[in-house]
Amino acid sequence: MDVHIAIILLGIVAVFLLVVIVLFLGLTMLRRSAEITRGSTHKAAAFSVKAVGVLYLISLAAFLILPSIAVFLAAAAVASSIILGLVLARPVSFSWTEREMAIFFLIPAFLGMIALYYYPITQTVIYSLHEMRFTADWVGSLFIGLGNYIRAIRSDTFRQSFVFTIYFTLSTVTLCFLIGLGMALTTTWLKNSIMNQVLRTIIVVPWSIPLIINASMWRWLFNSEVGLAVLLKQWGMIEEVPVFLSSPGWAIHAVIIADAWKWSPLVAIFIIGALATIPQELYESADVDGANALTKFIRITFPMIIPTVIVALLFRTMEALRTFDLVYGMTGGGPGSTTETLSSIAYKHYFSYTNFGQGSAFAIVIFILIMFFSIFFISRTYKNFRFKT
Amino acid sequence: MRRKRACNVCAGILVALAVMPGLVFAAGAREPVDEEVSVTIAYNQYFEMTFGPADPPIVAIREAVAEKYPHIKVEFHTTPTTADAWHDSYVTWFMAQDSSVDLLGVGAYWTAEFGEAGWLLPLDGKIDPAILKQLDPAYLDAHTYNGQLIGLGPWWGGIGGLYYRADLLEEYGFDPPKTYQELVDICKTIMADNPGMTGWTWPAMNDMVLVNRWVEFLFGFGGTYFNEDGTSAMNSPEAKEALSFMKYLIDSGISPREITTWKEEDSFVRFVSGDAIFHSGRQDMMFWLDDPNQSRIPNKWGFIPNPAAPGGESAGFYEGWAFSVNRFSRNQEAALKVLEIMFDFPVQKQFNLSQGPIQANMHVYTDEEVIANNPHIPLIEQVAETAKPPIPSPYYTEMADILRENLHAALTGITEPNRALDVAARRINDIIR
Repeated sequence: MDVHIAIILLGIVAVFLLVVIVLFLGLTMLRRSAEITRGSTHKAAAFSVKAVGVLYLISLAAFLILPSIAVFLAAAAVASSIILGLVLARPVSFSWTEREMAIFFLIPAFLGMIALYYYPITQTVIYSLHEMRFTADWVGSLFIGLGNYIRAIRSDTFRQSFVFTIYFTLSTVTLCFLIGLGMALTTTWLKNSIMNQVLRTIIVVPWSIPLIINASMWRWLFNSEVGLAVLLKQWGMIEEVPVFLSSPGWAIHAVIIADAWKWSPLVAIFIIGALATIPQELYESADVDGANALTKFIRITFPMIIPTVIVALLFRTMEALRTFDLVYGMTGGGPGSTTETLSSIAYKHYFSYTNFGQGSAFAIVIFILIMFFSIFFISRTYKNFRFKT
Repeated sequence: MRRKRACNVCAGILVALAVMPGLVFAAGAREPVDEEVSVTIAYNQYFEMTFGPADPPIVAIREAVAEKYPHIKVEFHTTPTTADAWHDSYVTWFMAQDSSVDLLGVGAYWTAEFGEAGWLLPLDGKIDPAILKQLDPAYLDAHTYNGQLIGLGPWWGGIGGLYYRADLLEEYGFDPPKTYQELVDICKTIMADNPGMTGWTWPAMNDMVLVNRWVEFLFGFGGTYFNEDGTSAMNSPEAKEALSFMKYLIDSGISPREITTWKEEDSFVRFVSGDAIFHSGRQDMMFWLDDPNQSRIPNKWGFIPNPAAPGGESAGFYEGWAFSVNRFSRNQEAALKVLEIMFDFPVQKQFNLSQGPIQANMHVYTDEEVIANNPHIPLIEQVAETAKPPIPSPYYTEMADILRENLHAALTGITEPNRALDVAARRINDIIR
C-alpha cells in the first residue's frame, strides 16, 4: 500500500480515537457532576450541568447540519464538562464504574452511526430542499422548500419508474419466494443423498456472480442474434426470434426473470436454515396421527419457517426497490424509459446531471418507500422478533 | 482491584494507540520533500493498448516526459470505458475537490458542463504558443467554453461516416450514395437478390450512441439543435421527418429491428462479417477492416460522408476527447508541462501509429511514416468536413438522456415519432428555462 495512504489512514484512526477519548472524558465528568448535583440545593451547579448537556445536543445537531460549526460547540461542551467535573466532582477518581465503561464502549459505535448514517441522511434532506446544480455547497444555494419533491412527483419519468419499480418488486419478490422455497424443500428432502451437496452448490452459484456480470450474461441470453431464442428457432419451436430487450412487455419480464434467478438462492439459503431448526419430533408426532406430506407442510413446516421467510422477503423487497445495476446493465432503462427504476433516476440526477437537489429528493422518496415497506413487514412479524422468556 | 487495574491498562493502551499514529503522521510530515513531482493522468484502458507499430500512448508519454523533464513522474489512472460511467466518476471527484488526478481526458460532450461548473483550469496563456500553433483551431473550438480554452484536443477524435461495400456497389453498377433515397434504392436492389443480406446497420440501443447517430440524421434532414429564440428545435418538421425515416428503415427491414438492442460494438459485426451493405460508425474501424484476421471484407469497402436528404447537409457526429487540467490539482505547473508534451508532434505521431485516431496536431497527417502505416487516412478528410459537435449546453447529459429515451421509444414502436419528439422538446425546454 502507498505509504502516504497508510499515513492518512493511521491519522484518521488517531483522530477518531482521540475524539472517542475526549468525548468519553467529557461525558464521564458531566455524568459525575450530574450525580453530585442531583437533589442538591445548589441550583446554579445543577443548571450548569443541564446547560452543558444541552450544549452536547446542540453540537450533535450542528454536526448533522454543518460539521464545521460542530467542532467548536463540541469542544466547548467537553471543556465545560471537564471544568464542571474538576470543580464539582473532586477529588477526581481514575477508576471507571460499569456505566462509564458502557459509555466508553458505546461512543465509537455512536460516532460511527452519526457520521456514516445520520449525517448523510440529514445532508440529503437538506440538499433536497435546495436548488443545487454543479455544486455540493447548500449554504450558498437557493432554498426552494419542497420544489424538488413537487417537480419529482409531477414528472412523467418518476410516475413511470415508480409503477415499474413497484411491479418489478412485487413480481421478483414473489418469484424469489416460490423458487427459493422450492429449492430449499428439495435440498431438505434429499438430505441424506449426495444430491443434497450437489444441489446446495448449484444453488449458491447464481448468488455468487457479480450483478453487472449477471446483467451482461442475461443480455446475451436475450440477444436476438445469439441468445436462447435463436436456439428455439433452430429447433423449430418458434418462427421468429423476439427482440426481447426492445419490446416493452418482454424487456420488463426479462429483467424480472434475471433478478429472480440471481436472488432466489438467497431466499433458499434463508429457508434451508429455518428448515434445519424444525424439531423432528413434530413430524414424528404428525406421522403417528397419520398426517400426509401436504398436511405436514401446511401445519408444521410453513408456520415454523414463516418468521425467517418474512425476514428474507424484507431483505429482498428492500433490495428490489433499490435495484439498479442489473436493470441498467441489461436494458439501460429501455425500451424508451420502460424499465427505468427509481434508483436509476436518483443516480442520474446526482451524478449524470450534477443536480444534487433533485437527486436528493428522489433519494428521499425511495428512502420513505423502503421505510414504509420495512415498517409494514416488521409490524406483521413483531411478535416473532421478541425475545422468548 | 483487578478490574481497576484492567481499566487503567485499557485506558493506557487506547491513549498509546491514539498518540502513536499521530507521531507516525508527524514523522511522515517531517520527511525530506522529494523533488520528484508526480502527474497522474486519467483516461480509459486504451491508454495502455496499441494496435499498430508503436508503443501504447502511456509509454510514449512517459518516455517523452522523462527525456525533457526527468523530475516529473507520469502515473496513470484507468477510468471506465463507457462515457456515462466515466463522466459520473469525474463528477464524484470534482464534488469532493479531489486532487489526486491532474490531467483528465474530457469528452467534448462535457465541455460546457465542466466549464460552467468551473472544474477545469482555463488554459489561455498557459500553453506554449509553439504547441498551440500545431493544433487545428476548429477542433479547439469544441473544447472552448465562454471564450476560455479548457482542454487541448482532440487527443482522440471520432467522426461518424458511412461505410459501404465497394465490391457490391460496383457489381450492381451503383455509385456510393449521397442521398438517403439513393441508399434505400441500393439496399432494396441488392437485398432483393441476396435475401440474407442486411441493408444498413447502425447502433440504436437505448444509449448515448443512439443520440450520436440521431444528430447525423437530424442535420441530414436539415434540422438543428436550437431555434433562433433559443428553444429546442428537436420537434421541428425536419427533426420529425428524420425520426420517421429512421423508423421507416427499421419497419421496411433495411435496418434490422435488432439494432434497437445494439451498442456500437454489436452494430458493426454484420458489416465486418460481410453480411451488410452499409454501416454507420466512426472512422476508427478503417484501421483494421483490411486485416483478414479481423474482417471478411478486406479491400472491399469504402468510407464516405453520411448521406443527406434534399435540403439537408451531410453530417458526422464528432466525438472529441481532449485533455484538461484538474482545477483542484496540486501539480498544475507540472501537469501543464506534460499536457504540452502530449500534444507535441513526437507523442502525437506515436499515438497515431499505435491507434490512428483523429487528432488535433495537423502535422501528423503529412508525416510519411504515418501515411505509409495508414494509407486510408485521406478518406477521413472529406468526412471530417461534415463534423457536427454535440449539443452545446451545460445540461448536455440530461438533454441527451431525454433524447435517447424518446428516440428509442419511437424506434421500438412505443410512441409515435412525432409525439416522442414533442415530448423530448418540451422536456428540454423545461431544462433550458
